[in-house]
Amino acid sequence: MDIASPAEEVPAKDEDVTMTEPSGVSSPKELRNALYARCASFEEGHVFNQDELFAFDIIPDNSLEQLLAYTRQLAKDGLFKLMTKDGKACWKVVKRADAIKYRSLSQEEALVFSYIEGAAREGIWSKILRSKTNLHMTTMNRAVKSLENKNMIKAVKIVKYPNRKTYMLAKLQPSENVTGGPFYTDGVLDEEFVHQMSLWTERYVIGRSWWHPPLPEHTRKSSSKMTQEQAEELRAAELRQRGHGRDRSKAMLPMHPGYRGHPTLSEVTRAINGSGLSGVTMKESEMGQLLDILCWDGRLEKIRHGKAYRAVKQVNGEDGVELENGLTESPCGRCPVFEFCEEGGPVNARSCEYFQEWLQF
Amino acid sequence: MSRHAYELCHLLVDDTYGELTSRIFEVLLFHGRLSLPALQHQTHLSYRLVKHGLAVLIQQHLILWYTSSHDHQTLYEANTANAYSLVRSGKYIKVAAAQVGEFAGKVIANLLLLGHARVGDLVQAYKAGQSRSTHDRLAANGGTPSTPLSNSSRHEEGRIEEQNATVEPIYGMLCDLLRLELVSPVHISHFRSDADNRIEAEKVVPKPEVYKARNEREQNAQREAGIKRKLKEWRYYTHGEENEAEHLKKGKKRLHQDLETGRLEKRQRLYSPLSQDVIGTTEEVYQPMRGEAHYLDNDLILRVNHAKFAVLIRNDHLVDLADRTISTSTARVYAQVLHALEPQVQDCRVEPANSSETDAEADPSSSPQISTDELVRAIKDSSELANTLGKSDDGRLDMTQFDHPKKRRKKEVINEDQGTIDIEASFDEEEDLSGSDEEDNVSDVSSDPNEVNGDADFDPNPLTSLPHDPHRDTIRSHLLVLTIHPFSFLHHLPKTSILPERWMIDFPLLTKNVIHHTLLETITSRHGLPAARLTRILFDKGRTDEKVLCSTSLLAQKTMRSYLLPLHKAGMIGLQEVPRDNSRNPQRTNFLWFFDPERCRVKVLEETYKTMARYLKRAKMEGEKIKGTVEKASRSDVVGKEEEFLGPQELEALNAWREMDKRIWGEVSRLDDLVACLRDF
Repeated sequence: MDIASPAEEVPAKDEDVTMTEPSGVSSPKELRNALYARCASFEEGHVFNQDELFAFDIIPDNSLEQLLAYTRQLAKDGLFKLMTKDGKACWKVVKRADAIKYRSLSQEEALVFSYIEGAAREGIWSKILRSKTNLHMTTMNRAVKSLENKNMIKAVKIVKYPNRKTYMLAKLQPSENVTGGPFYTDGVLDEEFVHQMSLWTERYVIGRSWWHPPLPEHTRKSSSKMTQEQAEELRAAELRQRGHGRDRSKAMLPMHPGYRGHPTLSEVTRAINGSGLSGVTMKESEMGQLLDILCWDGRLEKIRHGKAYRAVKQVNGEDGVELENGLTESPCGRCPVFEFCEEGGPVNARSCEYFQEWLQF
Repeated sequence: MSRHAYELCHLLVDDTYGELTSRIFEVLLFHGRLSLPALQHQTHLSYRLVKHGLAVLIQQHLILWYTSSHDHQTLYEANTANAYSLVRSGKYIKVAAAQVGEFAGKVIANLLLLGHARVGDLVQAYKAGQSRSTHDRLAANGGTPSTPLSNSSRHEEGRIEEQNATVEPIYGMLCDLLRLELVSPVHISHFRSDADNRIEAEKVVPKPEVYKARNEREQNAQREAGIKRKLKEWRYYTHGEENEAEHLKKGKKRLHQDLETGRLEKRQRLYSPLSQDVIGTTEEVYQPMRGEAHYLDNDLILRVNHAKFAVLIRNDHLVDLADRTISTSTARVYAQVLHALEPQVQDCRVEPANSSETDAEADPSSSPQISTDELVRAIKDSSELANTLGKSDDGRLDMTQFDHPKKRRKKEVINEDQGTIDIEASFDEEEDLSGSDEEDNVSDVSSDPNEVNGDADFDPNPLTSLPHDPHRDTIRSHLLVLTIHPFSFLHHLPKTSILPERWMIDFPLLTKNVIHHTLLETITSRHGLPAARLTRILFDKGRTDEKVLCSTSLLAQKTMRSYLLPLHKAGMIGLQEVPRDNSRNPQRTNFLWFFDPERCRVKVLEETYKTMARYLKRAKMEGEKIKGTVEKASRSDVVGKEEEFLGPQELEALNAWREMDKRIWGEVSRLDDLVACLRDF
């Protein structure tokens, strides 16, 4: 097979530096097939070195020349794949069906395919692919397209460079560098996922960083017997008090300064993985990112020199209590034409409509 | 200060003191320093009127003046700081009334209207029941801010007159005000601008050659320090050098006694008048607390001390913040700390020169501080504080004890939210685990790396080291809660071999945090939560590329842009272009976003000034709409009998206007809170 040939020559030569050129391929086909069958009986992906192949006792006299001739022919047929390990040649078995597929490829397609295969889970950018294969744009595009049609490769989106056309083998799962970790789905940020995860995390931290003195109504709530109407009412009430705000209350009291239960990064990570909220297991670095986001949102704060997290008691924003100051609650603070507002100008305090509205209120 | 701030000051002066003064004030604002003839030319007023107006403005401390010694020309300048303070009149009165008593509030109200007043005159006015005429005269001239106070004082008139049967309480009250530094004697330097004060100080302080120093640079440095001291002396009315000299003479023994007896004697000297520069006094006459009799020189002239009021307003703000971010009980303890520190804090702004000379870390004694014992004594009753912290105070982190309140809460969480059930099973194990490994953290968490003396006292188990005193322990826990808060409300100075455990407030750091918090709050409510997230990232990470910002903020690029652009447009964040090569091609340029808190602060402050000016304009315009009715209602024969003299329509319009006016002024006061936070703290 052609694609293997450029790579094949180099290690092969290393191997036969001391040997003479084999005198033609005249070995029987059966021997070759036996060798292939023997190898195929091993688990998939097993890599055979020279000694293992000799150990099969298929090659007569354990002749190096013959072995070389057989493997070369097998590689040409696409049934063996030649590789190098520690400077020595070794081989991998390729399934017969796949081999047929490769054999059907044109020269350019095979070339393109070999590079895409080489890039493995990271994928290869079309521009690099072109410069490596040294093919003409149209030729390469044609090759890529036909490979795509044959379902041998697929285009993937790299999170870092969403505009780059990147390809990898169809059977491979893109690596995390490519997908961007658990927060991305198909290369696009999964905002809903981030939101849900942060909601859960926040609530977890709130529960561990403040003391909620027991309220009588809460104890009543927790009694397990509840009619359906009651439950529905409760749910509706909760939905009304949208989002984040619901677990924060004025009644929250601070913990004693000696309290050490403020959750740390590893605790939060362990808890979220134990919660079964997400199918993906979150790594600490990813949870750190999420917790940072919550800190930047002003929902959590780092205490103990950044080691532990604590919820902020009152939160500003859409979901929390609106904390307004003089500026933001006055019409001027939200006025779209505030910059132009001037005495004697087209917009001024005397004729201001927003003021009118505000004063009527 | 900007155009909008000037506009606001002008409006305030106009509103409080009328047209003539405001016209002169406006000209001074927009033209800067002017001599009398130039002022007359610019205002198009007659000489007599300008003189008259200036006299009023000087009396109100609204303009500064300076007569240069070489050409003897007097120049006038607008005092924008005091003009702005007019908007705070109401707050000052409230603070004074809360601190000293209702009567003190009224005196402050009068002092605010009068600018400054002789002690004798004040006493006379109240004694002879002349307050009515003073008030009415001023109220007639005054606008809205004076109206409520003159109204209220009219209601209280009868009582005041009764109170004033003797002069004693008036002196006593004035002494209290002086002691609390809410009023201060007037010094000539208060009428001069900073630059002029510096010129004068340079004249007084000896030339560099006089100082004994090795080289010229040291001489200059010593002189500079001398000038600074002099300026401070004038400003706060202290006599620093004299104090030091006296202390040295007295020797250590007396000094020690002084410290024990408190600050009484020091205070006395604090107000000792400074030679002939003190207006109205000639010799040492003021002795605030000597014996039972309170006595003040009748010729001493008093004014409102704005700096101290700013400190008190800041204290209120901090307590409010502690209430919101921690809890009401903790805020109450904090209020006590701040109150105890009040005498040590003269001004919100600490001079930066000081902090560079003496490192705050190395010499904590320079900052106001208080010991635990003093605080424990100051807080009489801690029964309210019981059960306000999320753990019973028997020391070590005891997980089994902890479980109880927690478990109850866990159940609540389950009921509220189905999603959390799964984790509950693993909780207890987890806690036990974390409990054991976190014991080790205890010491390194509590010890501040800067504090050398270790910290046996952050010991989670105070019982081992201290005698059992629940009162003290409760207070201490609340104080510690304040120290661990990210705002750093309080700084803990552990016990050393010489000094007891103390607490300190690092005001520069605290105010920096508070201002930052306020700015972000403003951004959040104006531009939304993601905008605040982006701003905080920019603050933490510095200048950031759009791509990095996108991945750190976990926002889609489109969403992120929709927040960045409005922020940029509003001037909250900036964009820097860094070309990668000389071509300055936009495609080969890095665009870095950044957030500069100082720039943002100034921008928000400007907007606030402008907004306040808009409100005042609108208030004026609303008043003009029903000018006739308002004038009629303020006629002396109509006041109090509105129902008789005004028709139903007029009455309705008047009431509507009053409501509106109240609303507008209420909002202006809220805006002023923001200004106080961003500018004065």
